Amino acid sequence: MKNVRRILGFLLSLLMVVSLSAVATAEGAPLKVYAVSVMSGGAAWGQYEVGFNKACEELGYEGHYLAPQSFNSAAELVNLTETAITNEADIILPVVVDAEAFADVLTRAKEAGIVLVGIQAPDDHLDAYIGTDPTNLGNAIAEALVASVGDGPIKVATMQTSLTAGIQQVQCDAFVAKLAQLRPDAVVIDRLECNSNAAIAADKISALYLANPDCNAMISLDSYAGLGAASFVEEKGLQGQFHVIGIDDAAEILMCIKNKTMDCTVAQMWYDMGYKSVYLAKAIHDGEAFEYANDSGSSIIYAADVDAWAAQNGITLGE
Amino acid sequence: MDYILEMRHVTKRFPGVVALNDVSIGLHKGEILAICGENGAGKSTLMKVLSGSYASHEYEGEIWIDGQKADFTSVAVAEHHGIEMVYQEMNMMLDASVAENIFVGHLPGKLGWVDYPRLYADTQQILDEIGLPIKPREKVRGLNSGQLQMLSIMRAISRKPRIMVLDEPTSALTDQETDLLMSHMVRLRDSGVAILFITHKLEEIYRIADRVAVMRDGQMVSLHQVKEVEKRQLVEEMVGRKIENLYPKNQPQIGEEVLKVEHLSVPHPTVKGRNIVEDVSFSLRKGEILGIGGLVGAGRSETLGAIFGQITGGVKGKLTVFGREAHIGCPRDAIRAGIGFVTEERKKSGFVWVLSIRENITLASLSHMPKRYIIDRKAERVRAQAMSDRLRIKAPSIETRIVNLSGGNQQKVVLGKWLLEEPRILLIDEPTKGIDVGAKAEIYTIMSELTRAGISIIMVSSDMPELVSMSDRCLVLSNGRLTGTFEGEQITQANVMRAAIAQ
Amino acid sequence: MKTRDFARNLLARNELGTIMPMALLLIVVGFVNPSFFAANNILDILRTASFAFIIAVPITFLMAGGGMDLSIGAATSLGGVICAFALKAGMPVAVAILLALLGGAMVGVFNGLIIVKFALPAFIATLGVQYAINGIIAITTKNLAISGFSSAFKVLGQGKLFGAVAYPVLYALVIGIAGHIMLTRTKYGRSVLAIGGNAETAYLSGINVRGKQISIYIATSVFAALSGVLQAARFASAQPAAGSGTELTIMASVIIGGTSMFGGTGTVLGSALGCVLLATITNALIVMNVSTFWQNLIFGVILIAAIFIDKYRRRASGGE
Repeated sequence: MKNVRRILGFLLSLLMVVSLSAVATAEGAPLKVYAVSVMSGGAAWGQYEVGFNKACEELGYEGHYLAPQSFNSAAELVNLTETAITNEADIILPVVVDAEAFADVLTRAKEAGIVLVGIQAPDDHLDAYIGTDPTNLGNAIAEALVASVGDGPIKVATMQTSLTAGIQQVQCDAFVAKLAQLRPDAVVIDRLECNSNAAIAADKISALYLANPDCNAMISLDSYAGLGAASFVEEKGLQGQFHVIGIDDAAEILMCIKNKTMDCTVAQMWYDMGYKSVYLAKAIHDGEAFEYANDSGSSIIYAADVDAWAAQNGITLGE
Repeated sequence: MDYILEMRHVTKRFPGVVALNDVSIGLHKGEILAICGENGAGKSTLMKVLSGSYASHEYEGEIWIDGQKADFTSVAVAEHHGIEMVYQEMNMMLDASVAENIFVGHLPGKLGWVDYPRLYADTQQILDEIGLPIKPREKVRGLNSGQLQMLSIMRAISRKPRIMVLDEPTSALTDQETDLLMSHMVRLRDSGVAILFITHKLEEIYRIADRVAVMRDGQMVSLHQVKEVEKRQLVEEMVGRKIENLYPKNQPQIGEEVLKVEHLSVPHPTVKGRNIVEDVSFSLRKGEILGIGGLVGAGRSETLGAIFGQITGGVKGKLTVFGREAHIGCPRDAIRAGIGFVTEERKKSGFVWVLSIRENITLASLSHMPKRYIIDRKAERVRAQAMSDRLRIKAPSIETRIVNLSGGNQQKVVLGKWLLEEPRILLIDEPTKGIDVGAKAEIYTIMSELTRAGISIIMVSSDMPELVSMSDRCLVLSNGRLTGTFEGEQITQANVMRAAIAQ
Repeated sequence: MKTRDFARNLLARNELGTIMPMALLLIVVGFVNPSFFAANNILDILRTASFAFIIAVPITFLMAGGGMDLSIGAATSLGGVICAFALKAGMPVAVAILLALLGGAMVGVFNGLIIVKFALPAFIATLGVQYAINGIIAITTKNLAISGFSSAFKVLGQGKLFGAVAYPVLYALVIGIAGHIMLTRTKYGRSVLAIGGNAETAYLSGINVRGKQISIYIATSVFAALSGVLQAARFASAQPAAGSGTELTIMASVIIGGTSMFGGTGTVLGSALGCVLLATITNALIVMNVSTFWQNLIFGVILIAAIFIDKYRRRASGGE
């Protein structure tokens, strides 16, 4: 028994060494591109990954998509970037969620002559970045909210993944600023967090509504936040009175808009972001002209747009 | 001649027990003094006093070193005076090397750095000296328990003690290792070390000891030059405990054979390739109390454990219960065959401390209760109350938590748990361990009542008077082998002790 | 004398650890914002607690029996995802739910075998299972929520009796009562408490210790999967991370409810109160307009207070 275990342990470690060295020895002409993303799959990042792979395929690059096991962990992202450097990447596409944490590893990547194109967030170490500009996104959400509520009073809550998510903080601040500019009378009641869990989101907005019965809107910076709020609207029968602005264009979110439990959603162009980031990196690598900041933009989807949007982006809607 | 170490009038009391009673003894430089006595005679308490485990204020009396009074406030003080202990249980760092274990706390080197070349060289020297075929860099985990025991002895030797105390050091050793140890002890003595040697193996005493002291009931009974005393006399002095009148033994109605054990062997739990029970055969008859005597570690509890299915791995032998061969793979099988088992460690394996008397007492007989899945609460209360009354369990109510009871009442609950299950054979390991005298008598009464009702009992006991008085027949185990079977008048303390220390 | 006995009985109740902080919380929130006590809000809290409680019932058995399981959150997600896949494949609702529960049962069998039979430490073993399941979910769903269910399925999670009491509250009630009876009145429940209190004694008393332990691990994962199915029905979408992070709060609810972390004692009623307490804290803090930045701090303080009271109670009732 003991021997069997020993042999098993040996074989496992052998397997690990072999697979690691297989990766390490895979040398060749194609450029190595590493996307260091915050998660694998998911409504948003899943599309980003598809776009990224598509561009790599077109250009004949060797594309690697890396993502940590726990969402949004800066430490794990830095480690993955480190891995990309060790594997002699030619291009790295990092998501700089925390400038301080990334400073050292990005400096070293730069010294190694690696092309750095940031995704979603700008940083001084980057050659360029592409993404939905957080300020522009916050502005777009504010505009969507004002358009949805119309002339009535606005008392709104915001909900994000967690209050420690840096990019979402910037988005949220931009939203608050833009809203104050568009509608000086609007009130932001509270900033909530939901840990990407629709049940928590629904419970929290329900409790908030109880405490503030005049609250009439919620905007989402996390896609499950919108889903939870829509479920709250449906259960309380508040369609048309309580306005939910969602984020992203997952099927279930589009369904909420069709069912009128959500007013609209602000979709980021995730596929484009992934696709264009590789071409942007190519331009830098080949010494062509490029812009530092590239906004991949966003668009607001209302009920009337849902079907066309779904058809255009290959999203299958349910019942 | 002057004593290098002397204990003067040492008395150590525990609640209700005097473990050492006015013990005085002296040890000369360059001699081996053996101390023998049966289980519970006070040998290990004596060890703890000498090692400083009991601080000097915890006992009465004095310890003198080199003719001067010493104050053993801690283990460190004893070590400072040059006393080294070798215990029966070995405490080794299993994943460290042989060398590190020997020199732990005294590693050669400076400023927190260990001088490994010197460490290994020194260790090799000691290993060569004692003739042990292991390597200094070897991990201790892979050693057998004999080698471990030798290692702990070497650890003591490496500290160059003036006085060494060894507690039954040969119990885990092979004959060859024992020879090695004995010759080394003689060499140490000749170099001037004083050795206190606790053992119950008379052969070893005659082989190397200069003097021998006998302990009994916490007292030092006698002190002899080994050359001037016969074995027979030592045995008689070791036993001879007073038998109090608390054994309500009546004439037993002994019937047909109910249990037969043939060629039972149980592997040793820690020593590979050795059996703790070796080819033991016996039978039990209806209404009989079969006592099993022997020294601690002789394989008595393991014999019961193997019969009950508590120990199963590697057990060999044939079991016949009520005339049919029984294959017992787990306690449930044994219970179905009509066997109950009151274990030695009540707290560990006898009761569930978070539960009440009621819940504990019905634990083994849940399947006998009316209704298949639901517990009939009324029936349960009635049964538990009846058993509690029958055993005269003293508690505010049967809802009292068992932890709040005295040891005697806890033992009654454990007994009651088995009686409710209505076994026909009851195995009892140390029936009165840690119980006061009054409760003891009650337990004996219950045992007698049970045999009158036709239940057969196998009782393992280290309490010699109890064993001698309660047994209808008495087996004695020594080193896992059956070394004596006594009946009626033959069951005497001296006979049992002789068999218990037989090789 | 009478009142003294009453006070002592009250102190001896296992559930007191939750009742006192709960009472305190209710008084405070009642002063700050009486609308907390609106029937709708109370029913909302109960519904939130129900999803956790459905898992907390078997967890009470598990912990009272001396075990622990960190894979329940993952099993919850798995249940929802399996059910969603089955529904999308066009299977009838009942079959889809059955498949989800079966998936849960397989997780439980695996947990039971590696922990009970191969004696791996439950903490690490179930943590590994948690990762493995989350990995399987990520691979099969690409971390995309699955939506688009029939209303016949959605009503299981969204429907309300008399338009007020959400169905999940009813399920939780039934499961809770059944669990309470099983733990206090059946031989099975007694055996579980004995195993948690002293497995060696239980084994020597003829109880099938391993079989019972494995059965509890299976039940735990099955009910976790059920909770996942109901959450999928409630939100009309099975989220790949529906249960992540819930394992600790559910075990915390059970412990606050008076179940010993070391086994031997526990009540289903206590666990129910524990789940309600945790749901109430989250709700009450928002209702009192406590800023999100402060909520975690206060949540932590209340948790510690709850176990403090529990510890004091044990000493007062002469337990340990």
